[in-house]
Amino acid sequence: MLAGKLVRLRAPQRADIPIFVKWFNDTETTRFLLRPPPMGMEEEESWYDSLVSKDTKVFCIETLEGRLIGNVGIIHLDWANRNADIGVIIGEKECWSKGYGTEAITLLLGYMFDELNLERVWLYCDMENLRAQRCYERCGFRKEGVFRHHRLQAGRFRDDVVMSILKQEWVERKAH
Amino acid sequence: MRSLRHAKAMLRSERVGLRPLETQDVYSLLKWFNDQRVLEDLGAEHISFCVSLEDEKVILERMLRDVHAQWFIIIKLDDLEPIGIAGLTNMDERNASAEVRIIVGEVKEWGKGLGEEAALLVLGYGFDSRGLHRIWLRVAEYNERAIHLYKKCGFVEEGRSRHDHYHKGRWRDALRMSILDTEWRSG
Repeated sequence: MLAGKLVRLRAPQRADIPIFVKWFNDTETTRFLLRPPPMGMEEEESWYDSLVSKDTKVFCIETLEGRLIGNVGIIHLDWANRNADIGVIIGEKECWSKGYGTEAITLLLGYMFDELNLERVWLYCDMENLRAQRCYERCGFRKEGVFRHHRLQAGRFRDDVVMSILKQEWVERKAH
Repeated sequence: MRSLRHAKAMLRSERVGLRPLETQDVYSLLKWFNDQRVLEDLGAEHISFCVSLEDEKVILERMLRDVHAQWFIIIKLDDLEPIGIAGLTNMDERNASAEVRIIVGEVKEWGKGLGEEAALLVLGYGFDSRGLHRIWLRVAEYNERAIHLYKKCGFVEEGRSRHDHYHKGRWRDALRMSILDTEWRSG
């Protein structure tokens, strides 16, 4: 468990699955999700089972009062090149724009740079998802490019913005 | 679930006992190994950050199946509550050596000398019941409480694994310590 001022990261548990399913079947929440919904209980359970004994961990974000509000996690870990990409969802809509996601990502970055000793953490998100991009910038990510027509969603090819933060940038941010 | 509350301690000292690790102990391990205060000083080799119940079950199953290890749950003798895990691992029968690990996972029980009692029980088990000649361990250089405890138990520093693991943004060393059966018996 890793705690900040607003949220903490904890291991997911089987009892959380119905809450994940609720998030992943809400059209507003999934508007910018990179994986197309809907998602059923069984699909979510098999995803949950696939996480066992993996380096690519998913963490639940909960408020310090213990309310589960979202997930953040490592998607692929490339040890040889010491980089990894991450994903995040704040599933509880009334928790949007309160800084929870920013702090959860910052906690995860601390783990990835200071404990796993990675060189680069990256992600991509829908070019139109400006709220997410602002959040990632606040965490120290920089835009580095665009994957043009990278995803087909709702009948339209979408552009994705690629963002990353390097170890050195993380160290400098911490020093300030 | 079968309750382990009444499980008898196989090895006892004044306040703590050791009983064999069981599958049902997974909930204790889950609690301890999700407590940042417990993880903090272990040194990254052992850190599996934010383990789920399913992760912990797999880890425990491997520990129980490992023929080169003997794990115990440390319990308090007054209420039989589990407070930590201890054991011998990497057991090398040819050379009569093993690595010892001791973790008091219940933070409220820290600072009472219970870990030291447990350590002495494990050492007694290793030397007197398993016929070991040498018991060694690895401890993070910044884990001063543990180093102090091991020295009190008779371990001597025998080396330093330089840049053993990465922690809090930099490489940290781990100490190697050991105790021989002759030292145990004369101590």
